[in-house]
Amino acid sequence: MSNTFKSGIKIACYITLPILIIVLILAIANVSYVYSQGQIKENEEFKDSQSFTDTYENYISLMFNRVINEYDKSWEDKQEDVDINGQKGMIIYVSEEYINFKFLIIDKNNNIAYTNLEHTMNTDSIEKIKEFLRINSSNIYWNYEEGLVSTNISKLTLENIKYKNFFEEIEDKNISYFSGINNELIISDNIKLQNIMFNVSKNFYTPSIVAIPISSILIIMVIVIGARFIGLRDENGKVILNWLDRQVLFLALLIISIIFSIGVMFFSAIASNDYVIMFIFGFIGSIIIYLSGVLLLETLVKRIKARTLIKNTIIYKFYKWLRDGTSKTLNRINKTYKIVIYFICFVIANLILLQFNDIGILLIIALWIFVIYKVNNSAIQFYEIKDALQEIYNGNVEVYLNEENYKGDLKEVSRYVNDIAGGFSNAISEQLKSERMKTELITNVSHDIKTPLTSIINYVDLLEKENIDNENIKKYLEIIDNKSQKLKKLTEDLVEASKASSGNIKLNIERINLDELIKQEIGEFEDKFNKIGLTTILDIKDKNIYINADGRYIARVLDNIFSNISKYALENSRVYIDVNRQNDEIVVIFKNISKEKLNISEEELMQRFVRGDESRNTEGSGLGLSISESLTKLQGGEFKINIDGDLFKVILVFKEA
Amino acid sequence: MYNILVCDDEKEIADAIELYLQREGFNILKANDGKEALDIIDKNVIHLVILDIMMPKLNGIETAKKIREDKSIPIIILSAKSEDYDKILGLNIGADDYMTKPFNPLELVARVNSQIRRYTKLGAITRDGNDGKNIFKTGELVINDDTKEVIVDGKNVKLTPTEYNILKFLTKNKGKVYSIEQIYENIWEDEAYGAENIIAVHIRHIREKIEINPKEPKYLKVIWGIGYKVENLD
Repeated sequence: MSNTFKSGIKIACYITLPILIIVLILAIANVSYVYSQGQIKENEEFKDSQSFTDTYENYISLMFNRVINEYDKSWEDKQEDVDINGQKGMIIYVSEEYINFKFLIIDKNNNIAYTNLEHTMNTDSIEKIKEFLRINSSNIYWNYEEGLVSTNISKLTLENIKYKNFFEEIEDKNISYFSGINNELIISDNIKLQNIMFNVSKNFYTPSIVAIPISSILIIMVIVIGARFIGLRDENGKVILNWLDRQVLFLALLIISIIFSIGVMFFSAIASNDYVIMFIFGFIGSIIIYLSGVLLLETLVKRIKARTLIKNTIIYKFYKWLRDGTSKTLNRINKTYKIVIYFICFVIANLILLQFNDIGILLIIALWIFVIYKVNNSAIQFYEIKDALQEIYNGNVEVYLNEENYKGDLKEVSRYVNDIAGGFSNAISEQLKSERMKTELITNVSHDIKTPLTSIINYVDLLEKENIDNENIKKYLEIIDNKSQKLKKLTEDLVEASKASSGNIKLNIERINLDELIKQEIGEFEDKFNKIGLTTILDIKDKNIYINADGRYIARVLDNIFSNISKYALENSRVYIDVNRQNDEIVVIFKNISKEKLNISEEELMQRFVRGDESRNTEGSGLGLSISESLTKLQGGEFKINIDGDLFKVILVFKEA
Repeated sequence: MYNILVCDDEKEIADAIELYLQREGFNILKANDGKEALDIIDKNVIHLVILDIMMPKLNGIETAKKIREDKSIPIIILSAKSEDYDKILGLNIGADDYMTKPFNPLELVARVNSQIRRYTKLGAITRDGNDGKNIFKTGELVINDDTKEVIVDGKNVKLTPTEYNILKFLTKNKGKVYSIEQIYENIWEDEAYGAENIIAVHIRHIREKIEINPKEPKYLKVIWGIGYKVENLD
């Protein structure tokens, strides 16, 4: 999802949200208003509502008090010489015109009448005023005269108000009170406002009841959806943080609360009487408060998504500062003394904790558990590293320690171990690679040698079959034949030697019966041995001696050994083959007497291209022993030779299977 | 007269092979590469193909595959490549035999003869035999127990009685591996004949008599450290 798309959805949420909030506030206000009115009944009229009744009652007593007790009568507009109950009196037009409540209060004791109607031709006598009120306030009225209340307000009948203070006062002072509400609510006052609210509440009560839960759910939904799209991510998947989000949480909250307070301040300015100013201030205040809410939500969500909610707090920073500072100080101290310092700290901690009673003991136990856990952990890590080193020492370089699992110095050590293992592993694979390339080269070269060699061998053979009388030619041909055969053997052995020494051979390991194998191999060489008078003496105690090896290659090794014997053993001597079990190992020893003096060391003999006879006039490439040794090693065995005077020994050691 | 196609980019090798095989009475056709070989096979009646692997234009493996698409003539691959992998590949794509260079001319001739006999007289020997009751056979190795005759690739082979018994026993139970001791017990039953070591020597001798190359036996195989068996080739 693109960031533009995400931002779009987020902004849509932020626009929807205030609308829903306003709906919710209005609905709650409406419902609570209705409840404050004591549950408006289905057919109830405005004049019977509690709030109206309260207001009306308030007006009655308020106006009464004002006209009787407060007004400076000389200041007001007057009509004198009017007839009040047959006596001469006057009417005072008080300046309380800006309400829909109209009254005529007649003070019979002083023959003064008060009204808040305008002083016009139609209101210049008591009768006219009464008439005016009767017509103009016919819908809602309340009159009191000579102990009688006539009204159509159900809650202000004589029964309902006769014990109220204001009414008793009115009665006491011999007052007649005529009042009513303009039929047309021409003046914007409390009454009009209440009337509107009453009608609205009455009409919108049911929708409000429904709107509260719906708008609440919608608000939560919009917040949740919006929150999902808060916190855009850059191309690396990191949450993009703005200036505010990067501040410490405390500072961010402080800034947001300052903004919130500014919004609240606007609201307090609403106390003005000017509706326009009220509206503007209220609007601005709401926007600011809403903005602070949005900021709070944004920064919290982004911090959670970027996982900085806790890290970016003063407490966490302080903790980190403390921790890093401590470890830095400790690092500066010589590592040798570190453990001593730890120990001293441990002892001191124990001594301090001993001063406390029960909690101290508990803390000491906790401390000990912690220390034992730590020490044990270190020991485990140490032994893991030791095991890894042992593996490397044993030749397994595929060792890897996860550095993350180690702490402090051991972490460093584990890295060194990994580097050493990696270095070894690289060196070995490099070596294997070069060995393999060498083998490939030798194999390819041998192919190229074999083709011309084939022609040489074939044509020498064909020449030999021609009728040649010249003895010299015959002799020369024989030499060429001999040498070309040797070359053939050499090329073949070369490939095999390089393969065997580089381990480039696929082994098919099986359980091999040594008795069977040696007898088979003797069978193969019996004729050759007989020719030069060699007798084999096989000494094998147990016919069921098994080793794990590849039959073909172990046979190749024996073949080489027997072939060597047939070439280098003294005629008419004996060949001893002893098979012994030594612990879990099988040792096979081949012994024969060399016909030539062996003035050469075992090591030299094992080298490639070295042969027992210095004159090199016997057949063979000189690779036989080397091939045998490599093949034996590949199959997990040992191949050794031993020279003792003329006694030549080959010793094969295999694990018993 | 059988026509043999020799296909090798090394002209001298093809010439030498020609010389050897002409002496055996074969008619030789020569090709320098795979394409030429396929051409010749298309235009002539060929009874056997000797194929080199490393050749220009079309190599031996591809050529053999092409030949096998519509012909069942014997193919002997003759290559300087001596890896097991190459041999297995060659035999798998349909070659009947695989020889490595430098080769022993006598062995090549023997193998050619063997393939030709098998190809031209397939099944002839079994017709000679009686109801087949006393005939033991694997591939081109046939033992007639009535006449005590051993025939390999149509040629009579002379074996000593012990050798005959060993071979008969193993052929009767072809495909199964027997150790020296088991063979000994089966041949001599309860007779105390002497050193059982001699079995290995006999087997070596049998191989020398029935196999073209005793070191790479086709019929009587050495399973090192386990025993011997006669391969089941049917």
